[in-house]
Amino acid sequence: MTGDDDTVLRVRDLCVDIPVPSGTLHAVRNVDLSAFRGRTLAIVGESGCGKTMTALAVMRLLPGRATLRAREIGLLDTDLRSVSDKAFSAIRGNRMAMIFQDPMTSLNPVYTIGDQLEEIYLRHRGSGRREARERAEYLLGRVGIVNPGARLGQFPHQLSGGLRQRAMIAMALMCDPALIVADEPTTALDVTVQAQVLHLLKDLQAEFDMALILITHDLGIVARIADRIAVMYAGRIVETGSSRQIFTAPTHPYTQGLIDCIPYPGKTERRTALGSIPGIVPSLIGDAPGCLFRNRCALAEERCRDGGNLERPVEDGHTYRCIHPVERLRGAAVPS
Amino acid sequence: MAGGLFANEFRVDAPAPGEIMRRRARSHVGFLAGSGFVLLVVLLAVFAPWVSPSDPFTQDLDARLLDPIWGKGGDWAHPLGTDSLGRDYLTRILFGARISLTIGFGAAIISGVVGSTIGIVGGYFGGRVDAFVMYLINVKLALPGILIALSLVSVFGGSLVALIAILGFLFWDRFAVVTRSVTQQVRGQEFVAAAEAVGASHARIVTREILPNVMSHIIVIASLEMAIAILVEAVLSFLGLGIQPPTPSWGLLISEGRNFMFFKPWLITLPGLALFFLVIAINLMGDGIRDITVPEGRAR
Amino acid sequence: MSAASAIAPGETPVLECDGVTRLFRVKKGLFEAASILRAVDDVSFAVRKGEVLAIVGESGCGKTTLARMLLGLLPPSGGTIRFAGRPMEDVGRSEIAARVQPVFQDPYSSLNPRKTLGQIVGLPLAVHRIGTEAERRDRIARIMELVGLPSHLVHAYPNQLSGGQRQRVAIARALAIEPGIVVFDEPTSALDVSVQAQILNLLMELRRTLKLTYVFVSHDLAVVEHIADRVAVMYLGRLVELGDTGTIFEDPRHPYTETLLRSILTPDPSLGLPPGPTGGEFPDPLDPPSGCRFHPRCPKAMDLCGAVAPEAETDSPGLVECHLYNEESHDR
Repeated sequence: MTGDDDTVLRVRDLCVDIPVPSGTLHAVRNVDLSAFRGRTLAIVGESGCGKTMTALAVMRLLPGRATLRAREIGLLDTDLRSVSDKAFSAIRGNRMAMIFQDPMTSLNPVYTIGDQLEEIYLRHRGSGRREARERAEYLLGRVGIVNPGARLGQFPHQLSGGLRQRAMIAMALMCDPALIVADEPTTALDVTVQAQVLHLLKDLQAEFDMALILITHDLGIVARIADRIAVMYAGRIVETGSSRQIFTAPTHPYTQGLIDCIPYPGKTERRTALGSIPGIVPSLIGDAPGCLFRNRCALAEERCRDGGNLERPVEDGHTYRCIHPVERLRGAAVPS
Repeated sequence: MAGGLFANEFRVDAPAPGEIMRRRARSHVGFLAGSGFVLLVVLLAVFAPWVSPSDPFTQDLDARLLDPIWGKGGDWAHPLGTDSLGRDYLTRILFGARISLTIGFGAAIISGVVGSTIGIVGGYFGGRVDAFVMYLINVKLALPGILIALSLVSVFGGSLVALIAILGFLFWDRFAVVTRSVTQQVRGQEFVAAAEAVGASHARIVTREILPNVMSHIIVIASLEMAIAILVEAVLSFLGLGIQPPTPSWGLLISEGRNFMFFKPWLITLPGLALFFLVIAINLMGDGIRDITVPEGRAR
Repeated sequence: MSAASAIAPGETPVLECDGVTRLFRVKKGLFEAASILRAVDDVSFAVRKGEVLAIVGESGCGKTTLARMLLGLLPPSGGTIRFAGRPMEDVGRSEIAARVQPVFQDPYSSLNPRKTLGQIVGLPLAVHRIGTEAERRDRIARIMELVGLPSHLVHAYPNQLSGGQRQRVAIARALAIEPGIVVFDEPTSALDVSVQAQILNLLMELRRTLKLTYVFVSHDLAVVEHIADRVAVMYLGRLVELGDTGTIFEDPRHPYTETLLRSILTPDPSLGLPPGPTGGEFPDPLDPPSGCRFHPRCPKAMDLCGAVAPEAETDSPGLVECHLYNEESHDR
């Protein structure tokens, strides 16, 4: 593996299995990902699709029972698979950092914001407390917190949700990581605050030249902020492409269905039925040959039972896993 | 198991709550062992007149202080020997289980009803009502329970009914504390607001919506309180303030065995072991119930 | 109040708020004196029969408190709520229940985990003693079918259902006593987008077939735009703008409404992020800004705004509470 290009993270054939009483739950199946310096990769999907498990697998934060297999998980020139747990903790928070959905539960309530920010710097850089405090104060100011010096001495509950999430972002930046994984970073925030935080993430990404992996269920956020998009369904990436490719030429029926589902002010006609995907996500327990979307897919046919897993290209950088591209849906002849 | 090609949208693949509990119960070793032993003791106590070899009160002064069958001169006529008045010790212990269990169940039921009512009312209505309930609980917690039990027993005497009533009214505080906080949690759930919005009365909401969600906690505490009541009864009887002779209570048996402690130690160890195992079994059962009834996590 | 009657000419509104206010005493610390939170502050509006009125705003704006008052779960500290012209105090608990029913946000906490779906959906019927056992069973089956739940699920428990199915159960329960009005508090925000679409479609269909009136509390403006006839925008307990959905979305007047609309992220990759809203943080609701409550965040704030609170101005497009549209305040 070489680190000469802009690739920051490369994941090949990632599988996450979780043993459950009735068998094995395949949370993530054969996922390939790449994240590039200065670029944003969005992993989008509904709950239970495996997007969070993918992130946790990369950060080696999977729940204890889960097992992980991969042909490659490379961060810059380090093969993360061969790193010991102890050595991994020197990477996590340092060369890559994670931002969680709920900043209240991911900050420790009994330590001040300053203590928590500085602790990370001290642990990874081993430098003096003065330097750590200066960096913490600089970053709190940089993430748009007014009067950062005073905020350093405050406890998490004294900050509003938006401020806490900004503090989390500052915390992730403490050691100047090459990769940030943000799991639903704005879901708990109000809409106006959400816009501010997304702006901030985007600006910081450019300034610090980081790769950003954004995990979300919100297609609106994805469309506005992502460079590349991976759509996940039932543990698999069913379609991947640039933001423009995914939204202007969705090819997997699931992607198309997802886009049709969301009300779009100015486009969907008011008070008309929205497109919807019938049914529910299939059980992820046990082996599942064939396309997992077939029980909800309008185009499903007998062949989908065993085909449909192969990744096929639409054009450069745009791939999907389906045996009937969605053109047939958009065309006049919709099979009934 | 991705289902058929067009699998039914509404597959009910998760089991019902009752079924989940049955499954957990079947594989919970502590619960099975504990409840099995408790059940055995209950059956032996209920059928004591039929299963025991003789009568607990019949004295036989020719056969005093006989050893159990494993001791010297042991005899199947008295498998666990006899006491200082020649009464069959196995029979005495089996009948003693009746006393212990009656006290345990009776005290747990009374304290459960009193404590849970207080706790649920405080947790449900909140505000001033809750402040008063907290005041009651704090007063109760500040009282030296055993001391009061001792003085009440010495005033009212050690009849079975008096003991049950005294223990029941003395140990309701744990029920009140736990049910109050659980009720507060359940109170905040949206299904309670939905029942209110439907126009359901407070009584209906408390009994039909809240109580079923608090019940498992009540049962768990009841089992622990039962164990405590059994122990306290033994202590009181041992001190001569509880059950009066010749009624066979385990505490009393131990007390009566004291005089012979150094040459007939089984007079103390046998009822002591019975007490020990019953209390352990009840606690195992209580812990098991707690594990079995923890609510399911949210569906993925 | 004139604000309420002017927007519903002719007929009596099915539900009406007149200067409704709700205060809470909040204790911050153990030894601090309680301060007063004005969760809902002098709000007046009317709900017309058969419409979908959305109440939007960010967390802490008072929309959930308002919804609970409309449901009769919380008495107002001031002002009057009227059902078809009659003050709520005169209507009585059980009739309020028969007129207005809720659907809440969290499909997990809104269903009693110890009850079967039949018991949950049948609760309103049991409480109001409607029909015989057999009639209730029929009616429960009919309602479940109406909301798209197969009737064999009557014996199922909530933990056996997905989030979307649970929300259907909550809707079925709300409809069981055939209320005229349903108050939804963020009914889809806990659901996945594909399920959200199913539920929104169901809600629109039910309204058509059952001729229902909806009060739809939400923070999701795209959903509101799709489903609502009129929109009421709340900020820090105040109703700052009210109007037809088209007018609000195409020609918003209050600067806060504009800010909210700008933050909607439509899935259009060519647009990029909207310009971040100006002004800093959401103010402390316990210590709201003087004058217009929005002025510290308002891009169009004038000197006047910090000093004098604007009056609600009711006109043909609806209601707006802003000095920009309040000529008298300039003259004063």
